[in-house]
Amino acid sequence: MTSDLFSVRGLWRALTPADRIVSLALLLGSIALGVAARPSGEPTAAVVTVGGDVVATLPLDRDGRVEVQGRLSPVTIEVSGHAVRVTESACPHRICVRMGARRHSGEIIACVPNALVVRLTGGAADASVPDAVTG
Amino acid sequence: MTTRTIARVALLVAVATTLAIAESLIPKPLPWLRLGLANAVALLALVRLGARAALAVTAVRVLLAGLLLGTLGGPTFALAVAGGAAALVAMVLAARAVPPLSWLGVSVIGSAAHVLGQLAAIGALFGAGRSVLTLAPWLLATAVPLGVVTGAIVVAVDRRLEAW
Amino acid sequence: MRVRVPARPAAALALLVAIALPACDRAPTVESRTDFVMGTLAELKVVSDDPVTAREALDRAFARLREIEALTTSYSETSEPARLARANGAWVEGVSPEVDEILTLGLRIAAESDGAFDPTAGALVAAWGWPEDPALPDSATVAAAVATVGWRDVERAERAPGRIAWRLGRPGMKLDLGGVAKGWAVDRAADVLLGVSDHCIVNAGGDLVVRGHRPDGKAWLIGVQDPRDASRIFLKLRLPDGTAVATSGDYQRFFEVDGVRYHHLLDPRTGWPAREVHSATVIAPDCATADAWATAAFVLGAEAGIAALERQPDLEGLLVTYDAKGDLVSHETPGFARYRE
Repeated sequence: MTSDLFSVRGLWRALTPADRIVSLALLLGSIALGVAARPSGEPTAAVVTVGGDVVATLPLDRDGRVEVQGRLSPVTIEVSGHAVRVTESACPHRICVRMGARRHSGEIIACVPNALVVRLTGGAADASVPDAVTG
Repeated sequence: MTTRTIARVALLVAVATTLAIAESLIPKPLPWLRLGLANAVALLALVRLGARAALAVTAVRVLLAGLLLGTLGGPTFALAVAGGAAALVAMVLAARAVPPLSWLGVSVIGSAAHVLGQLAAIGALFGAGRSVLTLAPWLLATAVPLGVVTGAIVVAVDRRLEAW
Repeated sequence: MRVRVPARPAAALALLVAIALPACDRAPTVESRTDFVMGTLAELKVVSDDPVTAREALDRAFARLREIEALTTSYSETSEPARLARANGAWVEGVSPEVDEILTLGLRIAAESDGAFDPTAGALVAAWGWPEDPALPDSATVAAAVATVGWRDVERAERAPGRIAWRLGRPGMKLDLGGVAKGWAVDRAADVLLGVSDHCIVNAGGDLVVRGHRPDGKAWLIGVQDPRDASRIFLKLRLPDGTAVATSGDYQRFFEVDGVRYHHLLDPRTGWPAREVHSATVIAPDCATADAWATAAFVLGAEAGIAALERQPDLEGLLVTYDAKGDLVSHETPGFARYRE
């Protein structure tokens, strides 16, 4: 075989049927992967960490509540209508409770005394959601 | 291994390491996306000297490149190991496939396995939710033409090495 | 052996590079990390196509935040404010460059704001029990604490280049660098991230600085929290490269006694919480300045606060008060509007 390997036609001729099937399968696989991995926009879960360790992962498509132990006190976290909020915490200023509900991907509820962070994950970043909040 | 084989493996290691370092110098490359020329040398070793030589070339090249680039032991190095190992295993198996693949087909499979191995390592090291994993389809799609082209280079080089 | 560079393989190689490089450039993503530091939640984001380098830079940025916290905190016996207070009016030698710079900046803003911001209010903050156990002090305690406050009575000496000494000139005087050190630390953490990327945000509990822009090429988008309802954003800002913003609000930390709210933003001149403004947001070229001026403008009140901000070059601000019906009233410097989304 002395085919020309440096032209598209030459390369195509050099491929065996099995080569072509494998290449086609990989290309189709990458398209399938792209479709499957397409970000949906909406966050899918609320991940709760205390001191950096994940203590709970709450799917947002099921309403419910969970109590986790923070550094200072138990903290109750509630999922309702694809949004998450802290409903009870015995921390001094209860900033986490007053922060109310969060529903966008990447948003955070934090309780400093409890070293607790609730973060919405999954889905694509929404360009209209601020990159940071001051206040 | 005969002395002759050892010398040839050493030569290929030198070429592969040089290419790996040259690739790392290309402006703004992703650490896990290489053109795959270093892998092409592993394929050349597989073509001419067999699976054991290809293993030796890959292992020593990954180690040397890590040492010379200062990434040894770090996450970048782990990605290089994962990609190199996945590509090697896939190419050795693909070379024995029935119906037969040409070296171009073997190269395509090695290239795709390299990408998938590194993505798996990224997922394991940094968590499956990594945004970089959304690039997986692009990387896999790119791997196919890259594999054909590097395979063609290997075959062309192989033909010119007849004096070996 | 023939040594000859074949033209077509070379062309193929060039093609190879051309195929691969666009794929390389497609990747900048936001790498972010949150952690608790300086009594708040810090969130650092860096835009990078290399998560390994980005993560390593985030590690170093958080380490820098903790380092500055350890030097400047009022709540550690080994910090420099504690050392200065213990010296009881004597000179303290070998003050760190960090505390030297923070204190110098704090005193400058104290002078510019006529003492509405004062880094020597440590004893007053302690008299109110902030931040751990806030409680209503009696008037005599407040008056005694106010007597220890006075930015004019702090002295600096440079013994030799880089060898700095400071002394606190009033009996019982204590530093509280919280109102400026957090912003200064944010600036230094951004310096660390700039080593690996031109684009980043460092946000420590609402005191933040932005560098570069978002991955989509637009300016970073910053929400300002509604002072009445922490779950709402009442305004969005587009901040260009090298802009910092900080907010002081009476809703952040407070307690109630007999139906009266006492918040943590004390007027250093009277010793009591400043009452007129509910939230002060200041935009500045650096976060240390934004941080200190947000407090100063809050304490000065709507009219004097806006006037003081207008006198400073590079500062813009928004102060929020409530009218008789409880609706928000905005007071802002003329240049503030250009940052509104």
